[in-house]
Amino acid sequence: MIDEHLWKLPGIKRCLIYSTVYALLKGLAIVGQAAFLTQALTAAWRLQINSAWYFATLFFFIFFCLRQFFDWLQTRQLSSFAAKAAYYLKQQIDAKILLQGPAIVDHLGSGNLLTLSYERVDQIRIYLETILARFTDLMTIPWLILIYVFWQNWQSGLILFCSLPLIVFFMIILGLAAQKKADAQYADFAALNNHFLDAVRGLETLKMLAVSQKYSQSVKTASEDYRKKTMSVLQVAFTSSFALDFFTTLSIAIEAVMLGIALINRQLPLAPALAVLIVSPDFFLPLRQFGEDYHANLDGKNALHELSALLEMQAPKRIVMRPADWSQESQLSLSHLSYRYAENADAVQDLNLTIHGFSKIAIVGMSGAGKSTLLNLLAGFLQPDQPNPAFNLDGQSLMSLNADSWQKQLSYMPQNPYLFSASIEKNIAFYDPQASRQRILAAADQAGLSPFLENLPNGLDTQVGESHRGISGGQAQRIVLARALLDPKRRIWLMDEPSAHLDIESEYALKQTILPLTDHRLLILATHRLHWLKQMDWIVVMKAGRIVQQGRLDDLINQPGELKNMSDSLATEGDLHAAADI
Amino acid sequence: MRQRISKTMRLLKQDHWFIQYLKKDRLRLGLLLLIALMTVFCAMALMFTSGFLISKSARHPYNLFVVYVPVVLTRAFGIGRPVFKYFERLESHDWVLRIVSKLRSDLYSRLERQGSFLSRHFQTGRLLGLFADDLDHLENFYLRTIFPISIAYLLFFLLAAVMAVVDWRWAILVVCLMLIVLLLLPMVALSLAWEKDQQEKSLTKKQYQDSAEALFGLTDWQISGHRADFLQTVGRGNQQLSRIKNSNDQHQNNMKLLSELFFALAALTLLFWSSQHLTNSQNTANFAASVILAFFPLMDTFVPAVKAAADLPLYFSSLNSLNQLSRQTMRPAAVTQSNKSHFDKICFQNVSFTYGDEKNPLLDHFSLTINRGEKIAILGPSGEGKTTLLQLLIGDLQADQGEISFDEVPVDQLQQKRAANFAYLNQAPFIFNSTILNNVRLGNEQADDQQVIKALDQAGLTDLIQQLPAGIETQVGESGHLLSGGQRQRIALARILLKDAPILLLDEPTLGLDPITEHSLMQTIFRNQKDKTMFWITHHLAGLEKVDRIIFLEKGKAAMSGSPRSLYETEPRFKKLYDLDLGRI
Repeated sequence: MIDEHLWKLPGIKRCLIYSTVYALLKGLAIVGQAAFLTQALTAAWRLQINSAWYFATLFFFIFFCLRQFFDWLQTRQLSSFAAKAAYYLKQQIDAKILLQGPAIVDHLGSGNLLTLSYERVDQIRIYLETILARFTDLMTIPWLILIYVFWQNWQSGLILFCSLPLIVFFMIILGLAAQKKADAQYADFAALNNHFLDAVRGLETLKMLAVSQKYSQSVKTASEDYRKKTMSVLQVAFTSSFALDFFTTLSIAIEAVMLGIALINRQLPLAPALAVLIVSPDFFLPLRQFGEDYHANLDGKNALHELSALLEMQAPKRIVMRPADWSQESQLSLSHLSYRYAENADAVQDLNLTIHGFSKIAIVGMSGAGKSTLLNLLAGFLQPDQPNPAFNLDGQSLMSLNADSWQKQLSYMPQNPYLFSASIEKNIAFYDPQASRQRILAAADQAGLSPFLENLPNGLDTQVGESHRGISGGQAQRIVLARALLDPKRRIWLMDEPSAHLDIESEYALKQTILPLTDHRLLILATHRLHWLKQMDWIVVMKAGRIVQQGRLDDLINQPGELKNMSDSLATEGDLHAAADI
Repeated sequence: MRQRISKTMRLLKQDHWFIQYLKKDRLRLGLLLLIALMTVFCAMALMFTSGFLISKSARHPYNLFVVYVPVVLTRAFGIGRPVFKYFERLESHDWVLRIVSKLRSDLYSRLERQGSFLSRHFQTGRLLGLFADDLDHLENFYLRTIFPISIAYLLFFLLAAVMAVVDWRWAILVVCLMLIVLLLLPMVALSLAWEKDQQEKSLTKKQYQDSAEALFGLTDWQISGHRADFLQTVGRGNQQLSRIKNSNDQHQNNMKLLSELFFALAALTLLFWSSQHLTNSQNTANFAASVILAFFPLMDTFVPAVKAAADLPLYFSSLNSLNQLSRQTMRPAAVTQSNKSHFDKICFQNVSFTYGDEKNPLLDHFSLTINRGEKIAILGPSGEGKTTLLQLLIGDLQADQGEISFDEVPVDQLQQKRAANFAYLNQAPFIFNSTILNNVRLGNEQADDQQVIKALDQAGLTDLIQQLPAGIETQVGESGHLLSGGQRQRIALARILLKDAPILLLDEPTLGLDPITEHSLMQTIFRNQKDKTMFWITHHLAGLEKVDRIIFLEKGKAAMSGSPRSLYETEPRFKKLYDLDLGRI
């Protein structure tokens, strides 16, 4: 009846206690309101409009207002709890995403995560607001009213009491069937709704393929399908609340008739009969509301489950390591390093590699050879799931490199670097927000940004990132480079195909900028562009997740192997060159 | 406030999405309101008859027959209320869902009509998805605001009429109290909601951006070492947002309490009235309880008016964005269309194009003639108009100056035959959440499985398909996220190859692939698409040997142009780049 995930929210118990107290007070007010209204009406029926009537009417009014007031208090308390819980969950999600690292974005998709932290959290907020009120009301108010009715007229009390299991029985039978159907179709119609979203998002592509007009028929069909499915879920929900409604209203009608007969037979005076009649609808109200809101809040309930699943995901282990700044004498070795992604076989196996001091290492291989996975392992974004430590850093055996003291020495340059919506200055000062403008300018200059900045009217203060000035891929890479240069502690540079999205001239220019800067740094570069190799100290060749060759370029290029194959297959296509040479 | 009202009136006057449906289905709507009224009527009548039944019975009539009619009526209304309620809910949802379904296809076809508009205004598909949310809001607009308010007012007028007939002095008092509940408080709630709504929206937008930043820059945050700072900054915004939402709810809660209290005052008035006018005889006194008891079910109809009003800002902003869309997607003036689908020559004559209000033109008096079957490679720095050239060619963008023609027929006369003439692989092709087979078959819906497999083979995907247990029936996930970037690119390529149009436009088809895969892929394309005219945007020079001509676009002009061989021999810059690309430097 009440979701187990709810118990994990902070303050839930306190909130439930308060809500129960308010519900009890509400129940008492309902009883008081009914009692005084009965008095007033009976007096009027006896044609006695006297001070007792005024007294009863006044107290009826007071209790009526009190009831609404307690309801107001309850709503107030629950909505502030729900808002706090939503805030708490949002914080949990943010912290969780930062903790899990980039792997979670690959796993769940950024769109999905954003939906989860906004729309879904809001659904949960509304769910909490309603379901807790309904739950506490259901647990208290009917029982208070039942006691009052028994006290007034035990036969009526018995009718109400007996109708309760009957209604609950029908509710369970119908509710279960409805719930099953609704739960089953929920997934179904979520998919249909996504179909429409898909069509709208992919509209440009559909237009390019010239099927967009034909597709509108499919959108129409899917939309109608969606309507029918939604309607059939709603029908079930409506039927079950109809059944509930029907039995409760009918119970009141039957009771009215029974009371009437008892009155005619002089078994009962008017006052208790009227009191029972007045209070009966309120007896059934919490039950009906609970039944109705169950369906309305299915979204929120599912959202809570989805979110809990995210929060319960196993967190990657952070490693504590002795602080060791990377120097010329440092050494990192990987032994038998393997990594496997949950859903596919694309991984790395049994990697053995030793990295020394300030050297320049290239990882080459075809797409999907495992280059990026290796870089992610080196950055600590991924953690191997192996019994024995696969890393050894200057004599320290380590299970992974997911450690602050390691990551603070890193700079990571992806294919498409992300610029934050801020000025270029702030973007460069990302690792060191306190850096002086002078130092920022110097770093920008080293990264080759000066000519670009001079052409901008606002220079370093130009806003970049989403919805701001577009920036070419090459300049974005340079900003990332300046970011790394600004923090002299970041001496380990990991680059994942930094030039893959650049045209050949920008690529060449970027390469000319990067290479001289790496003298006192360790550069590990994943690339499938062979022209980088000449300036590298060590070449690691990967194929299908394994290191198939490693060594100096001069040695590797002359012996048969993967690198020679790659270079040969590129060379044969160079028939322009060959023709010119002849 | 006045400004807002006039703005709202203007909005409703120009509306495409809402009012016309209310007008169109007047009959059904009338029926719906009638059923809704019957529901409330039954609820009131049930309490009325049962109150009367008990009061009358308490007079100890000599037999049961005296209360026979109220007994029957009590049962009838007891059954009637849930039945009417059931049909009311079923009918109203059915009606609204039908309309939203219509609107959904309408929205799609409106968006569909203008492709160039789309690419300019909504670069991210995400933004388009928002329109789907607006439609959902519209659904609730009917169900939670329009219907409840209409029913409340309808009931109010009916009651006011009945009361005026019974006792007009008393009627004025009750009408005043009810107007506070139905008009004054909702207005107050509305004006508070406008205020908060703006705040909430701008804050949500900012938070949304922050979160998006955190996700896209996650690697940077991960290694920055100051994750806690980030959580703190975002946390502050989150807290603010949650406070605003809470205070929104609190306002609604307050308004609800107020309207309940005013309703209680009305009930009190009724009690006094009945004590004055119904206690003259036993017969009239039997109705005293009935009148009061029948009054309470009205609360369920009247009090929600406050909430309905407070939700209006949300609905209006959705309606506004949908209406803005329809204004922007008015059909452009039609141009006489030509049926031609065979060409010998494509001509760019002195074409100039500048994006928006930017200073430098992307194309500057650019001229080019291409013969049928020619394969052209377009090179050049990024952001220099390579993609624009293709968009002008298919007519998605219009040149500011000059003309693009196919055997003298200008491009805007060929828009109807666009599908038959072009196969265009754009830079960010969309992969639909379906199977590989369905995604590829979109290129040509008449193609059989064998043809699809062949296209997949040409795109170099045979190995992948063989690895997958479900083969071409494999689901690719939302936006194809179960595949790698290179695989997605190749599926889009297969789709284009299946299309089999005479002019092939490829915008960086091998993005994200390694040079060896890229090379073999392009070789396959050249082998299989021999008779096609082809435009190929690329930034790699290796593998260009097979094209007939290379155009090097720079500063709006063809900085270099010619066959690969002649460029290599005569242009030192080209030779240098070419050698660079092969790793010879």
